[in-house]
This record gives sequence, C-alpha cells and structure tokens, in this order.
Amino acid sequence: MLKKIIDASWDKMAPFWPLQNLIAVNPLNGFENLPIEEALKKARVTFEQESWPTEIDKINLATIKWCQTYFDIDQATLKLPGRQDGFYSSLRTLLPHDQLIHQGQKERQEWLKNLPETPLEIIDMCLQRLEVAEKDRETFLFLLLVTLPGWAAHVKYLSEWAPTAEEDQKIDYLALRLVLTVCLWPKAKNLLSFYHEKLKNAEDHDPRLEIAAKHEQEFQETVQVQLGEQAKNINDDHSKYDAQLVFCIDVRSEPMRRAIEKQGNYQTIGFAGFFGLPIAVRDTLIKSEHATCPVLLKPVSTVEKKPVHVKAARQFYRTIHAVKRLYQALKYSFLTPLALVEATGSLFGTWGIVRSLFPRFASASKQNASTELGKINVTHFDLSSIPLETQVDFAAGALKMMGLTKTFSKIVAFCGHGSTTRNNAFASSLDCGACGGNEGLDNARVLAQILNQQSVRKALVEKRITIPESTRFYGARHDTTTDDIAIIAPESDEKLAGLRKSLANAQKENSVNRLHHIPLVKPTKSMAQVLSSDWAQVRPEWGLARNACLIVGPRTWTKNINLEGRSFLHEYDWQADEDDSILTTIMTAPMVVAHWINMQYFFSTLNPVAYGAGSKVTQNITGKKGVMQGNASDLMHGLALQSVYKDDLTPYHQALRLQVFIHGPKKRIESIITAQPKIAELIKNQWIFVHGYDPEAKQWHSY
Amino acid sequence: MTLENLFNFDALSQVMVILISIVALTVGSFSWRYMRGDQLFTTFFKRLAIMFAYLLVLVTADNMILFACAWLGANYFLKQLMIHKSSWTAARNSGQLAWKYLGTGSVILGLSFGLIYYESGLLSIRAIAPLAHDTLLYEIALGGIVFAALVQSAQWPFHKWLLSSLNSPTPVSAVMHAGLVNGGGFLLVRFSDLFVNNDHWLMALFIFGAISSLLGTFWKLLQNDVKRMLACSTLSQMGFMVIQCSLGLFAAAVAHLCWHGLFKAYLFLSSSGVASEKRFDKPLKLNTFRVLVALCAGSIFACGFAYGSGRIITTLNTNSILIFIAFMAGVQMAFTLLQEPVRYVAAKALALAGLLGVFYGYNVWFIESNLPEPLMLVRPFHWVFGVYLAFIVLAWGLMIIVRQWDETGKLPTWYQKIYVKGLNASQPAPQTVTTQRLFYRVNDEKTAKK
Repeated sequence: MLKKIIDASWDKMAPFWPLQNLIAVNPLNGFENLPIEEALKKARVTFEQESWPTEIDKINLATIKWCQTYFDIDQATLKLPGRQDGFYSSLRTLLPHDQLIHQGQKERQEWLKNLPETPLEIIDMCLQRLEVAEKDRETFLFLLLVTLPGWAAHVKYLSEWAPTAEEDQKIDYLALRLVLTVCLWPKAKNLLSFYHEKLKNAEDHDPRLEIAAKHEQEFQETVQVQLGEQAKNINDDHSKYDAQLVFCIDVRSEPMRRAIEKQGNYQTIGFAGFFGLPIAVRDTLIKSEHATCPVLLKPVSTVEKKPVHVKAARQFYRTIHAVKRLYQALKYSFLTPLALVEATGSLFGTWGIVRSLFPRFASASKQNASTELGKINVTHFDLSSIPLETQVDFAAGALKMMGLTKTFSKIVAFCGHGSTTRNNAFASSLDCGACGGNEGLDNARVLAQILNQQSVRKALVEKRITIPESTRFYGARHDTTTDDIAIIAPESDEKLAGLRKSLANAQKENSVNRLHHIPLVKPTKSMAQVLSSDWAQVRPEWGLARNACLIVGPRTWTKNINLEGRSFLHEYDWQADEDDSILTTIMTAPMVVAHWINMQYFFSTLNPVAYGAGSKVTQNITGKKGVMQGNASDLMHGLALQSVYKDDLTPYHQALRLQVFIHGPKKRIESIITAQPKIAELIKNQWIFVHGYDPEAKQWHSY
Repeated sequence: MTLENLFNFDALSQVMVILISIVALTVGSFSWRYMRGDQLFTTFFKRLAIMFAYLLVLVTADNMILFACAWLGANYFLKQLMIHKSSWTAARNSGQLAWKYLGTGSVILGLSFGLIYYESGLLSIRAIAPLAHDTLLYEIALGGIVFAALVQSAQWPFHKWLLSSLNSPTPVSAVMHAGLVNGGGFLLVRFSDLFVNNDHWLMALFIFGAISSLLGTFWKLLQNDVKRMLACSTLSQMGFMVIQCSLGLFAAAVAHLCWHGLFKAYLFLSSSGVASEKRFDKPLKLNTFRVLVALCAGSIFACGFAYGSGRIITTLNTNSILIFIAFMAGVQMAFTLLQEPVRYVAAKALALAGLLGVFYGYNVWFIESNLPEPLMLVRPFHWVFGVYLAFIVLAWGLMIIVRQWDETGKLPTWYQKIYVKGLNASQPAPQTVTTQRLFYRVNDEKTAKK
C-alpha cells in the first residue's frame, strides 16, 4: 500500500540524465495525462513555485549535502563511507553524527541512532509522526520531491532509466527527505495547506501558452501552405544519384542537406540517427561501454570497437593514463599538491594564455599530437557478437525505414552526427538524442560495415532488396559545430574525391549561414572552427534551438522549401508501407523523441530557472554528473540559459509545441492514433499537434 | 610628494606586475567570450578593470596611505564582482560575507599603518624597513598586519568567506584565487623587514598556516563539486604560502603564490569540462620493494629540487621543510608510477624523479632568483615545524589506509565521525546556498535596469 503511494508520488516526476549523456525529456513528463493547460497550472504552483515556506530551506540544505556525497561519481577522493550498502543504509549510520541535523539535542540523536533498517518502515513512521493523513500521503510525498525537483529528477533517472537501475533509490531518497523533515520541521504538514491554497488561487489560463499558440498557428499555416504546394512535386524517385547520404532526423541536418543537394546530383535521406541499430559499443581500448540507441530501446547486442594500430594506440593510452594518474595522485593527497603547483604552474599558466588568446591553435595542436601519436582515430568494429541473421534483420529494417530499397548509388554514406566543443558541461546535449546522447558515428560505421558484407547482401536479396555489386556503404561523421562531414575512408579513395569536395563547399555555405544567428560573432569561413575549439565559448552552436516541427514524408515534398533548420525530417513513402508498421514505428519512436526534445527546449525557454539549468556563468559541476548554481543548489536539470537565449533576456528558441506533418492516408493515421493510446493522449491534451496530408484527397487533416 | 615617493618599482613589484598582467590577459580574454550575453557584461568589465588597476597600484605602492586605499579598493570591487547580480540572494550574501571579513581586514590594516606612522612619523614602507621595530606599538601594528594577511588569504579561522564565495562568475573565482587571496602573502613579503626578527608573530603565522593547510587538504579530499574542491585546495595552498613567510622564506612564498595563482586560475576556467574527466588515481597498493624504491625516488627528487633551486640539503634549517615536501612529492610520485605494469618501472621512476625534481627546483629558482637576497632569510629549525610535518605525514598515511579500507566498505566509526565533521565544517555559510531552486535568479528585468 505504502509502496503504491510512493510510486504514485514519483510518477509525476520526469527523469534527469547525467551530463555524460544528457537526454532531452519533457520536464512535465509526469503530467502528460493532463491537458497542457492544466498541467501548466499544477507546474506553476510546484515546479515554478517562487517561495516555498522557509522551513523547507534547512531540509533542502541537508538533502543537497547528502545527495552531493552519495551521488558523486568520481569527484571526491574520500568518498561517502559505506555507500556500497545503498543510500539509506549509509546515511542511517552517518546521520547520528551530523551535528547540523541533530543540533546537539540528545533526544533527536537517540532517535537518529535507532532508525529502522528498512526505508519503508521509516517512511511510515515519519508520516505518522508528522501526522499526515492517509489520504494526503501521496500529495505530501510529491511535495517533498517537488520542493527540490532537480535532485529528485536525478533519483528518478537512477531508479528507472540508468543502465543499472535500482528501484530502491526512490524509496531511499524519500526516506532521507522524511527523516530530515521530522528533525527540522516537525510541523511540515503545513506544506499541504500551503499547496492547496496556492492551487486554489492559481489562474487557469497561462498567457505564455496563449503566446505560444499564436506563434504555433502562424508557423503551422506557413508550413502547411508550402507543403501543400510542394505536394505535386512528389514522385517516385528512381533517378541515378552520384551519392546518397543518410542523415539523422535532427533539425540541424535539414540546412546541411539543402546545402549538399545544391552542390550536385546528391540524394539526402532523413532517418533516426542510430540507423536502426539497437546496440551498445564497447571500446576495447579504454574499456568503456555505452548504449548507442534511443533510451526507449534496450540494446540487443554489444559491438566491440578496436583500434587498427593496436600497439601504438595502446601505448598512447597507457602513457596518457599514466601521466593523468600521476597528476591526480599528486593533486589529491596531503602535502604533494604544494609541490605540484610550484612545479607545473608555469606550464598551466602558458597553456591558459594560449587557450584564451589562440583557441584554434591550442585545440589543433592538441588534436594533431594525439592523432599523430596514437592513431587513435583508426578503429574497426568486431561484429561477431551479432549473428548473421540479426545483422540481416537490422539491415533490412533500417533500409526499409529509410525508404532505401530500390535504387542505390555507388556511394551511400550514413552520416551520424556529433558535436565538437571544449570545456562545455552541456556538450552531450548537442550530440545525437537517438543515440542515447552519444555521437552517431559508431552506428553509422557499423551499419555500413554490415551492408558491405557479401553474406548480408546475399540474404537481403531474399528480402527483395538487391544491392548492386558496385555500391559501397560508408560511415561518416557530421560535425554539427563545424558542419564538417568526414567520411571514414582512406584519403586516397578516388571514388570519394568529388563528394568530398562538394561536402567541403556545403560546409562553408552552411556554417556561414548558421553563424549569422550566433550573436556577436563574425560569420567568416573559419569562425565555426574557432567557436568549436574555444574553451571560453558558451554558445559554440545553437543545438536544436528553434525546433518546431517534424515532417514525415518523402524528401521531394520538402526539397524546395527552406525550413530554416527548424524541422525534424523523417523519410516516409506511404505506398511502401503496406501494413502501416513503418508509420507506427515513426509515430511511436522518432515522434516521441522529437516531442521530448521539443518540450525540453520549450520549457527551458519558458522558465530557464525552473526547467533550465540557469546561466553557465555561475555553474558548478557536482559529482561529475550535474550542474549546481554557485556554492550549492538544487541539481539544475534542463538546458543552460545560453543554449536557448541570445542574451540574458532575449530568447533565441521560440517556444512552440511540436507540429507533426505527415504525408499519408487519413485513415491510416487515424487508425494508428486509435491503436496507440499514449499518442492519442499527447494529441488530445495538446502536447503535440498532428496534421496529415492525404495524398489522394490532396487535403490537410488535423487530429 | 613625487611619484618616486609614492611608488616602489622594486623586484617584488615587477614580479607581481607581471603575474597580474598574465592573469588579467588570460581571464580578461576568456571573459570576453564567456560573459557574452550577460546583462551586466559592461559593468562586469568595468569592475574587473578597476580591480586590476587597484591591484597594480597595490603591488607598486610604497606610501602606506596609497597601499591601504588600494587594498580597500581592490577588495571592494572584488566583492562587487562576486555578487555580480544582486537579485540572486545567495550571491549577495556571499559578497556581503566576504566584505565583512575583507573590509574588517582592510580597516585593521589601515589602523596598523596609522600606528606605524604614529611611531615612526614615516609613510614610506622603504623608509620604515631599516628602523628598529621593537616597541609595543610596533608589536600591535604587526599583529594587525598579521590579522589582515590571514583574513585576506582566508586562513583558518577566517576561511568561511572563501568557502562561500562560489556564487561568483567563474572568471571572478579565477581572478580571486590567482590574485586577491594572495594578498596576504604579498603583504607579509612587502613588510618582511618588520617581521624578520619577530619570532612570536612568525610562529603565530606558522601555526595558522599549518592548521589551514592541514584542514584545507582534508576538506578538499571530501568535496563533491569541483569549485568547492578548488576553494578548499586554495585554503591549503595559502596556508603553505603563509608557512613559507613564517619560515623567513619570503622569496619562496612569492614563487608559490605566482605558480599557484596561474595553476588555480587555469583550473577554475576549465572547470566546465570536468564532467568528462575520469579519475585514474586508484588507491595505492604498497609492498616493501615499492616502499624502498619510493624512499629512494623521494630522496633523488628532493636532491633534484635542492639542486634546481640552489638549496643546500645538508644543513637543518627552515629550507629543510621545503626539501622535505619535495621528498614527499617524490615518494608519492614513485608509489604511483610503481603501480604501472611496465618493464624496468623502478629504474624509470628513479630517473623521472631526478628529472622532475630538477624541473621543479628550477621553476622555484626562476622566481626566487629575480627577488633580492633579503627576501631569503633562512631561519633555524624549530621543533614545532617537526610536529607539523609529523602530523601531515600521519594524515597522508591515514589517507592511504582509509582509501584501502573504503574499497572493502568497512570503515570504523571514528572515521565516520571525522568524515561527517569535516564535511559539515567545509560547507558554505547556509545563507549563501540557494536552498530553493527559484531563489536563483538570472534574467530579472530589474537587474537589467540597474
């Protein structure tokens, strides 16, 4: 019973991923079952509450301290004693020593010393002590979460989404909150009346939503008119292209694709950037493993990434690690840091000046040194862990989903994307959401490697996909910060010479266009490189800011429209989707991911403190996994102000809810929505808007 | 009154001016991009420029009135820079807390200067230096200077403002840790002539410095966020700088504050990137062979340091303390290197110890050699120094043992108590913590109009 109440209180919280892979989520994820208007009303009195009763301050102060210590990954040298036993158990032994909590009171100290062993018992005990009625328990627990929403969001991630998720953490966290509450605010029951009072007085309407609705309408009409006009251009595309390039649906791909198409006879295709591979990649060199697929999926196999020049690479890493180990051992110890700073201050001082005054030179020399010494970029993948059958299934699934089954050019490149920034706590928020907040290059290369195998191609013929002998697949990296697209193949590959030249031209064009939108930056050809290599840069690129719509349809539908980098583009040919399965997948996976991203930007713009991480200027990274503001604060989940604002007061991102435009039969879209209650709920509650263009009736329908 | 009378462009001034210029150049150009889009961008740069101007006056001033004004002015603008946006209550409280300490320090410093003037009738620091300073009034004045120095360098028990100062914009922290906290050390060096024969004030300095360096290091090891870790580390480094002054090794203190300043400024500026940095320093595994090699490496490293910095290793005096610290660094270095699975690792570690020791010594010498001889007043060894070293070696050993215990998850209750005590003692002042998320302010229209 209590367990159920606890779960229910947590249901309203959205998870928050660590800085290593920041996944976009709707911060009001837990309220999606409500109409957005109502959800916002609740959010205004909770997440956006400007002043909770001051008694909560002491409780928060202690919670922050203990969360910082327990959830630290790798910062402290002397870590929380007994953390191996879990959050509650370790604190159970330590809290009796915490003078700031028992404040020297014998009785309280005794009570802390005799806390029951299981967190459920203590939760029950505390709720009784606080005299919270049975019916109010869920709300009360929810209030304990939402008064410090960032840390709670992280606990939610750890207990439900982390690779080694532990359900117990949710209970442990509430146990801590309650123990602290009993000690520091015995009359915390008042929180309930405070909340109900605020809720009663809250306005139903949110002017911000009205403004958004107005912009949405304008945007929707413009795009619909353009798309309506372009519908006549849709044809069965069987022309022979010099090359086909597959990009992630990410909004940053759209202007890049336009720039490339201008350069010559190239076809570009939009598809989820993990290229349909639900895999994890294990780097055998640094011995790390991470899933590179959407967080909605669990990886089914693990691919090993190995260096080609094993000896050189291993030697390089060993040396680098030895130097780092030596540095850290001297830094985190008694007495030795005194010598360390005197011995290396000159080096740090020089490097600091070089990085500040000549950021490009500094980055380039570091890059060159590591490439030269370690040849670390030269790697290959060991696919032996994926059975041939599965490989064929992956390949067929991916090709069908991206609509690439009939005409193949000699060159087909899968362009996974990633960003290159320095000294950026939010770096991973610029990477590929479809790859779990990682770069998409690995997936691109693995799919290319799978498709280049004769055995796979042979098996694909049976699935009615015939790949010509002359076709070769490549993995490529689309750098969203510099617009550089690097095809992973030897420089000497003559077949690629033309394409490489076109890509270089496209890079120049797109980066100059893009830089016009970055404030106070001269849009020169090399400026993108400068931004990318600068350790002082807080706006190296705009990421997915200004995202506004998802267009599901053939490229010929959108090719002649300048969508200004505001559109997710997913390839879809309704005629090839015989059993509706492709559209179902698109609407339940990429569409949901796009919605999460859209909402993250939406809310970080709407209120950069409640839903965003605040300014980068005063950020302080805690536990190597999250950002606090200044000395200590709530864990600041969401995007930094600089990711969505041109300056402190002027938003760059326009807060619009996602508009989805689908090129497909009315009936099909309807039936999919009916069959997917989650999607129907999102549409009904106006979290997203779906519009279909019926190819036969040649008419728009909104759902 | 001519310019010559007001200022003193001696070697110390020159070294400090160069340091300040380097920090100003690095932090200034960094902030030019980092602060972009901030509502108070212009105000920030104005304050920064004024503060640097005050600092330049401070390090070159010879007239005590000028010195005191520059001291006060620099601290005032530091406080303004720290607060940055006053709509954020926690930041405002941080600034006010710092100002309470630093302002008091400044006033006490001014009063001490007044006493010196009253006693000597002179305002020029240069002119006061050669006089006899053994009257009671001098004693009191020196006490005031010691107080101002301890407050400025955030020494225990005046450290709270530093640990609560991280609501500042990152570049401000960089400037503060590379610049203004060094003020204490600079002050002591500037007035070194008044201190050389004053055993008890020097001993007092030693004790405060020793406690600060010990506590700072311990707290640093406990911290979970990067900026507070750096602040605790500064506390211990400043402790060492004060110790160096108390040992009569003023030139060494200047070397320390220069190199530490550049080091720490860099770490603050690059603190946004720590999420991608892994820790490699696993707990050490020791055996007899490794201990023996490490002791050898430590000795070689210490010899290298002594050679590089021009110190004599055989006589026991205050220099021996620096040499001992070099020895410990060499030992730790060798222990770490010996964990590597490499062939001839012991030989390589010994060779590296020699090389790095000389490099280290040379860096210290590089600054010291630019300073005049009277700033190197080697003093006799005192048993209190020995006690400090013994304490710190004990702490070092305990840390190694605790980290090994921690691996197994079994830590004794006494350690748990110390852990919680240390954690609590190193927390920022509660009013400087943003206890509710929305208390943090970034884009208030109000701030814009200000």
